[in-house]
Amino acid sequence: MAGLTDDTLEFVELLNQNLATRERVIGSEVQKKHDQGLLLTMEYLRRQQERRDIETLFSSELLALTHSLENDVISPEEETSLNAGINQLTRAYDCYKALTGDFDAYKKMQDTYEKEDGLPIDVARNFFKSHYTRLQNILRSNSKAPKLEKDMVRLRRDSLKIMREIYIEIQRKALAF
Amino acid sequence: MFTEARLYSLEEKGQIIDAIYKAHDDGDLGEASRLRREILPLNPGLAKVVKKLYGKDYLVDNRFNLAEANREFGDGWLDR
Repeated sequence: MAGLTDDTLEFVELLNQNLATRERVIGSEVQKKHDQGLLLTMEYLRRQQERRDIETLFSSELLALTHSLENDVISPEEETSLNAGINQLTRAYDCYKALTGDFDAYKKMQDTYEKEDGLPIDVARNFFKSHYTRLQNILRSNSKAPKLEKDMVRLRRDSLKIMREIYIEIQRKALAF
Repeated sequence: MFTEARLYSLEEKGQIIDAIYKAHDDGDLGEASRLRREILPLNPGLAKVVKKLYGKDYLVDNRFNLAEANREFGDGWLDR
């Protein structure tokens, strides 16, 4: 999968730290440390957004989703939705790889021929849209979650917007617009 | 100074996290990274995720402390 870099490693490390502090979020001191860890993780995500490296953003979101599936307490509906997100993300990544490397494969993997400004609304573009909505719904259904946890989901949602922008640029170049 | 990849009590994990923040405050990001990865045991749920996404070698080559995952899933889980 994408973005196997030192950046991915840093994200795994931060997630691990957050899980360790979550184990004992009792008392204000530990809560403070847990919050600090979440802030560091958000700082990490903002840095990746500024770098505009779509591979790392794909990789971070895949890790965040799979992490949530394994470690968060979720309903069966949420589980289905997260699994769908993971599948769509993986297909979107394959679509991006095909667009930038194997054009014949790219043409074969499209569900529709829909276009916007001459550019195909392909599997990746559909993912950016549907996953944005998915994260929006997570925010809505967890309206009582702590503010920082919600900020984190908001930030991930912002990443989708940025990924879409970067991807459209890649599409323009690849399809010679 | 923490140097071993082993199981740690909650109390000790609290101390490791304090040491991470101290390294951070001192600007020693390499040490903060080492403590998070090689000393603070990798959460078993997260270990499973990372193995699935990036494979066994990623965990081994990056020297993650897998003591908790080994206890949870049994020795040899990495190869299963």
